Amino acid sequence: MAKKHLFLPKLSDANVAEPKQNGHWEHQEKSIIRSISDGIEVERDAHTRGVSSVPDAYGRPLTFQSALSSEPEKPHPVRPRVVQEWRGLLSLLALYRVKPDLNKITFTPVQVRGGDERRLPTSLFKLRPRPVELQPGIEYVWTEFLLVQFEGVTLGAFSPSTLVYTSADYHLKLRKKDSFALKDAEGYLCPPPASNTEDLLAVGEWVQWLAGEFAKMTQGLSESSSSYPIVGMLNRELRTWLLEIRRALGLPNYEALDSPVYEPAAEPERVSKQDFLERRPIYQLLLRPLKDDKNAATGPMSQYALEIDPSRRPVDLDHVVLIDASLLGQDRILWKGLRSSELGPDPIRSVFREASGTRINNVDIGKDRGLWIRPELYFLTPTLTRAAGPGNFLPGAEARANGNTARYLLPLRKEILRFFTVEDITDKLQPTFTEESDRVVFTLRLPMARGQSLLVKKSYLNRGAVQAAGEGALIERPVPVLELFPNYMGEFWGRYYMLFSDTEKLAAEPVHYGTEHFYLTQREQRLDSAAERLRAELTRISGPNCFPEGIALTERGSQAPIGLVLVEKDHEVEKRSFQGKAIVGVDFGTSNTNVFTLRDDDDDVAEPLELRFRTDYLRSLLAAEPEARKVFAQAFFVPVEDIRLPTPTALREYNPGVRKELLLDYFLYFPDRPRYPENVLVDLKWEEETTSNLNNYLEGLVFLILVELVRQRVGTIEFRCTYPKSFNKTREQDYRSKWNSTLEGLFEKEGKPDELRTGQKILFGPIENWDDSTETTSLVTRAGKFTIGKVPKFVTEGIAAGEFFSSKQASGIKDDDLANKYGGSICIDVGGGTTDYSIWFKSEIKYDASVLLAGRQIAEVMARNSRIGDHLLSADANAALREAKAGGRFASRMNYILRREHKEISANLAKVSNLRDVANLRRVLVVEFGALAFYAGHLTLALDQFLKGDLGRSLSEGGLSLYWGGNASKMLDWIDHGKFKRDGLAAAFLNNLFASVVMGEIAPENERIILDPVHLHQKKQEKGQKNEAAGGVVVIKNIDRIGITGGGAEPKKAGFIIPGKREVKNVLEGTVMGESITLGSQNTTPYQPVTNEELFQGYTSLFEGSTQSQLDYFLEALNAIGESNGFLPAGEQITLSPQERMAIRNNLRNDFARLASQEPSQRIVEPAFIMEVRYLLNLMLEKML
Amino acid sequence: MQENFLIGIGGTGSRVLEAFIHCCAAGYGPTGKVHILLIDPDRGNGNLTRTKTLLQQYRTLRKSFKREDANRAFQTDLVIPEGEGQFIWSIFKETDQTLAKYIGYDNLKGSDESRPLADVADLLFTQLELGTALNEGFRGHPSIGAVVMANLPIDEYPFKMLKDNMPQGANEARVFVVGSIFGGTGAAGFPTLGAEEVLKFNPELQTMLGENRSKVLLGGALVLPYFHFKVDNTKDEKMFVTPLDFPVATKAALHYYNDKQLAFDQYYFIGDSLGQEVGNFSTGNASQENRPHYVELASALAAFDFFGQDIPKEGAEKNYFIASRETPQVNWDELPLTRYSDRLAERRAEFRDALTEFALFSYTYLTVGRKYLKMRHKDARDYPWYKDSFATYQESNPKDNPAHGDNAVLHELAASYGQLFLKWVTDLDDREHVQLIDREMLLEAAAANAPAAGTKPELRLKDPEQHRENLGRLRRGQVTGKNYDHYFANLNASFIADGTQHAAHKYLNIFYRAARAFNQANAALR
Repeated sequence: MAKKHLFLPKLSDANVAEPKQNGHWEHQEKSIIRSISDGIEVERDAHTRGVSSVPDAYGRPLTFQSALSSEPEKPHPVRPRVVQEWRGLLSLLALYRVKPDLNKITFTPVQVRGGDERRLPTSLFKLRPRPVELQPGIEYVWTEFLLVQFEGVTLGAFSPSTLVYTSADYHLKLRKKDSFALKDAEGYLCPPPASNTEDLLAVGEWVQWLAGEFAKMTQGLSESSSSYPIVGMLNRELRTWLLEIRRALGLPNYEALDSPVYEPAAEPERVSKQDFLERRPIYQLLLRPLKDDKNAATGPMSQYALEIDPSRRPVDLDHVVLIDASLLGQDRILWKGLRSSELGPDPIRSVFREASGTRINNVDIGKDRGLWIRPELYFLTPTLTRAAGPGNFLPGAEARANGNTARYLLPLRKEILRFFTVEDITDKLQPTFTEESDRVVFTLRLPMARGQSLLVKKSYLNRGAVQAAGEGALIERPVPVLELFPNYMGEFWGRYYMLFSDTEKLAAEPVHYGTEHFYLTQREQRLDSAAERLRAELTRISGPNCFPEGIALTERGSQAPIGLVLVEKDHEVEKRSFQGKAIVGVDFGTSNTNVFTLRDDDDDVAEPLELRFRTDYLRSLLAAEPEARKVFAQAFFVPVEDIRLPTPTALREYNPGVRKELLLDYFLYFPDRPRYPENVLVDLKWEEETTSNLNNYLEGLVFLILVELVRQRVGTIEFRCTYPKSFNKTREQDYRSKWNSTLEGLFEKEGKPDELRTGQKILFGPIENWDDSTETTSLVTRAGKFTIGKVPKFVTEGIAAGEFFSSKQASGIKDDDLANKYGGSICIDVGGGTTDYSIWFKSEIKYDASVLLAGRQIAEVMARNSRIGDHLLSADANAALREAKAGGRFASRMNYILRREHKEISANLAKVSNLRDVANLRRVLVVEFGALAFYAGHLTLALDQFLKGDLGRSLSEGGLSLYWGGNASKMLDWIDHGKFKRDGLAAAFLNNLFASVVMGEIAPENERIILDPVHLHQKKQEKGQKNEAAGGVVVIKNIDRIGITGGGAEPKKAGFIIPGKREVKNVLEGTVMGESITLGSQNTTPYQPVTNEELFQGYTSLFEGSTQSQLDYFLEALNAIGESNGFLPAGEQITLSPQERMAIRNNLRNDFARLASQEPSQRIVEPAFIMEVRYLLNLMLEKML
Repeated sequence: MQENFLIGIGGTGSRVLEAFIHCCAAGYGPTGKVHILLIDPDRGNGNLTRTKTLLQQYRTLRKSFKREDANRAFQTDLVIPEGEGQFIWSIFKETDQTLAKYIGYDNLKGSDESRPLADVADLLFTQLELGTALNEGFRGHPSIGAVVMANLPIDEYPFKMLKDNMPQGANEARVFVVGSIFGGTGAAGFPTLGAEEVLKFNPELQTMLGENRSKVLLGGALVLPYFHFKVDNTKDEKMFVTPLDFPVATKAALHYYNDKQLAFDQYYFIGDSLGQEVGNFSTGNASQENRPHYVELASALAAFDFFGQDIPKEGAEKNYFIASRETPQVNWDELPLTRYSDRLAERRAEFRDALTEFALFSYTYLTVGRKYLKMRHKDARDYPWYKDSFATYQESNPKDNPAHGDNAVLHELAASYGQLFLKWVTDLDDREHVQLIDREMLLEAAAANAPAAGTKPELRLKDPEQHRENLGRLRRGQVTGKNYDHYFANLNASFIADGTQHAAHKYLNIFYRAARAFNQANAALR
């Protein structure tokens, strides 16, 4: 401390030599300047005010020089700030290439020259400090600026004396930039903090390299050079910094600094348009930032990454960075080159405001296939939903996958499925609900790398509770119907359907992020009636392995997500593998369709197919009211009850003429009431003009059959189909081809997922998984090999029924009651449109036939006389029938009613059978069934003649049973006052009418078959009526062998249709007319088969007329029998006036003339007797009304 | 032939100039010429106005007052440009000037080609610096001023004075720059003028003589913080340096001077160790009118030393001067006056006597002299000094009648200047630390001397006839001295019989003689 008083400011500890003389201007050395400076006392916080008092245009760089040159013990007033900024700018030059947030650095060269008359260059040139000889012989001049800029902000420049210096007030602009790591709270540049060891080490390596290179380049500078102190100062500052970095990293003083991931670039960055840099090697050093070390192992892109199963990872994403306040607080590597602490205070508010994004400030992590998410926003919904009322929102069965509770809808957004499977969510993420007094707390644990996890937690508050930021609300909602059909089928299955009832408020979207090919097709359906107004949305979900993993529910208007139903696969199905074989027999009937299956692993019992909608296929994903569920499903979807076939052959179409998508536009209709909706179509089998209904029906039917059998994991499926022999050729071929195309249409064998988007294909597999032969197609699946016979076997309904009656396996009939296949028996399956005959002899069906006299005629009676219904049916059923009036729709409803109300009808009949209307019905029944029995006689005679009397002899010896099935099962009961008896009224008519043909005068005596009345029986199928064709077809043995060897000399094979082969000529061909007709000038015998060639010549009918001998004989016999048993007493007998007989006769002639005009393949030739009976029935009907 | 140039920069420069002028008025200035230049963008600055007025009065008085040869007062010819030429460079012709406007920042920014130059401006200057109005000075941001001052208009006055009067020989142009280095204008101008290309080796001035030789010998007084303000926090001014910042600013500036190679040959470092408070702080403009400070006097003394030095040797080392005193007090004995220790005593006496004599002259002239001037001739002639001096009195002839109306101008000039000097010299004195001329001996109580609003301040001086002992104790440290009676005797002895002297001048010269005689006699008593 000076003792004298100086004419200077107050100085402390100043190293100022006191003048010897007072009042004397005493000469001092230059060092007096620094001594005075050092002695001036400064308040502690004065440094921070940033006073720029260097009176020079180059004040900024010179301040840096002064500050860095000052000794740490006697620091320049702004040395701390300058050192920080100097190191910060150098750190920036080191890191900007590897820290993505910093990579917008640009370099702008500016050179100021003398002679530039603009004021700023003039001043800068005039005031330029002397150049610095940083390297021997190389001068660095002040008028060459290399500006370092970041997004337009000039941060600083290169400096001859301090390598770099910062700008005057860049910090004000930099402070506002979120995206800049190397700055302090005020925006001043700073080196990486000690906490960021990676960056600090990286900078350390760079500075170490820079210091080394700098020392080499400046070596040899003369000590006398005025720049010598500057070089010394820079060496010292770099060394000091390195020491401090080592200390911060906890390394020994001389330990080499080596960043594992970066190294200085081999070449300097190119800066355009300036050559002064090329002459400044030290500046070139500064232009060599750190780059990825090519030898380095790559570290994680982010230490906050969500751990995702690689197989699950979305194709466009490699890294998912979790943004959460607690994680950010850990200050780890948020993204390669970026730490969370570098984002400034409260980055969640400033950077991560959205639920997700690909930008973190300037860094586009999307370029590296990265995405950041805020789990609570990205994965969780703002509200939590529970059922209004005390019930659950989910069915109990779905609880396991949905947070172990059925009470709430998982408050998850569908996006969670982008990263996790349902199983992952359940097992690893463990969604949990905790109920507290005024809230429900939902938690989810997200897995991260290295065993870390993030607990995501959100509170949902009850109504009325005060909601804080980040909390959600608990909302009560009515539970919509949400049904999925079918339940999980397997990875090879390409189509599912969803029904959702709440189309006004909510929307439901199936979600599956595990597959690229997930296609949705939606239809909104509505049903407005006086009673109800229903809206539903149907969704077709298709694509390979497209079973949805979840159903996302959203508000329909705002599309705000409200939750997710996670859908577990059906593990029971997954466990099973394909094995065994099933033969599937399909009887596509006029009024009913029946399907039988025969499993080879099922004790060989053929059973009607049961469509297990309730127990197996239909999956309720929300706990809607059962009644609501039923109503919606019945109106727009599939039944909620199991359906045991047969079922009425009915097709529903939602919008007239729109037939694009199965189930969305059309599907099989399974009635649950007599009154069918308006949009239900029936009578599909005999449609003339269009066959699309048939196509659509078959498509739906096959879909259902496959659902059942695939779920059962039946290894091989063989389809067999029946058809009525009365089909004309065209129709028969058409029917076959429809089946072929329906089955062939199931497969997507090319491995093209897009093909599943629309259309009929259901089964998918890569090309190599398919194995195709002429007959079958196989697909190798995870559950084993699955084979479908792609070409169904076709059998006439008569044969099939014959097989049925003779097969215990199919019919369950007791041994005693089985048809006698060897000795001979006759099977008559009365369907809706046709009655199909088959005659067994010597264990083969020797003949079969089909006639168009069946349930339809009876239905007509009931339709025309609604009083019958009044007596026999429930009011509801009767009303439904009255509405339908007549035709196919009536028949179909009738069919349904008869099935449902069979017992009631039988009971009523017992009481009312003698009422006039009911009695009339019974008369019709007697006529119709009697005619069928009568005609059976003709068939027997015809076959016997063909078999040269073998059949007759056998029957005479062994007796004969006629097996009645189909509609006969019920209607014969009606004749018998409600319950058929083998010795009852019906049997009496049938026996006698049959016998009157085979034993009567129709045939010459030697051709008659003598039957012992004791051994003539009428047997009626009691249970499972209508199973006959379907049940029979599945039990036919060696159906292929029969087909192959059936050509040629074996007349006994007659009747079998062998695909691709011409019909065998030397079998009993033609139609047994049952009537004596006149062909040309000749009369035929009634049981003589007549071929089409005999009936038609080109488009001319050769049919001249019927003798009506058999009709007369039939009525005679009928009346006689009726008279004898009192059913048709005198006066009530059935007779025809001459005019009526003439009318029938004319009608037949007209019918044949009409047939003649048709294409031969279109002609359906019927037995003349059957035709006569139909007209007879019409006449009877008219009389009854 | 030696030419002296004194360049004051900014507020401090202007106030040092004031001290310099007063010293010259007192007769401490060099013989010959000193060219005066002022640089201050703050045209309305109170200090500047005061200095400008003072210089004008000095020059007018010097021109109109014929002193006797022995009288060294006003001996220095303070030169400013003739006619319309300005001696003040106020830098900006426009009002509302900013650095941004000055360098055409917006134009630079607006063109792709020149934008990098605008970026350089961003590099070197803050936005505040670029955008703040500069007409009131550089407000503690001297780097701005540097840019402006680097473009000196050499072909315009006042700088043309340098060109017009540039001598031929090496170091013959003694240019002395003075300004504060902690504030705005001065801080900016000092090193800017010190830049080699600006004065020392300016091609336009043709100062270069080759071989690093120059016609210019460049000296400068770096005035370090020397006054303290109370900071007025009610003003919302973002860009100024407050006294709180002075130490930091000064330190930084000194580091700069240490590092930057400037063209100055000689530096004087001057500051205040006492921490005198001089009033409220204000950023430039008219309210900046502060009490004079001994540091300003010391700075002016540095200029006298610089101008008065012997011819320097060629290639001499740069000189860095500081000065000291023994006690905290600043008094006559230890003000720094010369670099030559052997001439110290002589210079000290010269300085002390010059200022004391001029103070005595001013005081007695304003009190006694004016009193007699107002007397009627017949009454005045009762006094010997008057009677003997104006023996040829003719009332109508101004040459013979000192009180003639025509002479009033000179008398008013003298009175006015005397007032200014007394105010300055008494304001320097703070009783406690600065002990030069004792204001209490001269002035009525402070309250009486507070100028009424809107009136020209006029000192209320004590009447020496009533305060008879005061005259002998004007100089601080003089406990006993001669009294008014003695003075009056001296006055009577100071008559001038020379009939050729014009009455007006004679009248003044008589009082000067008396003051000098009294002072010599009084000094002998110490």
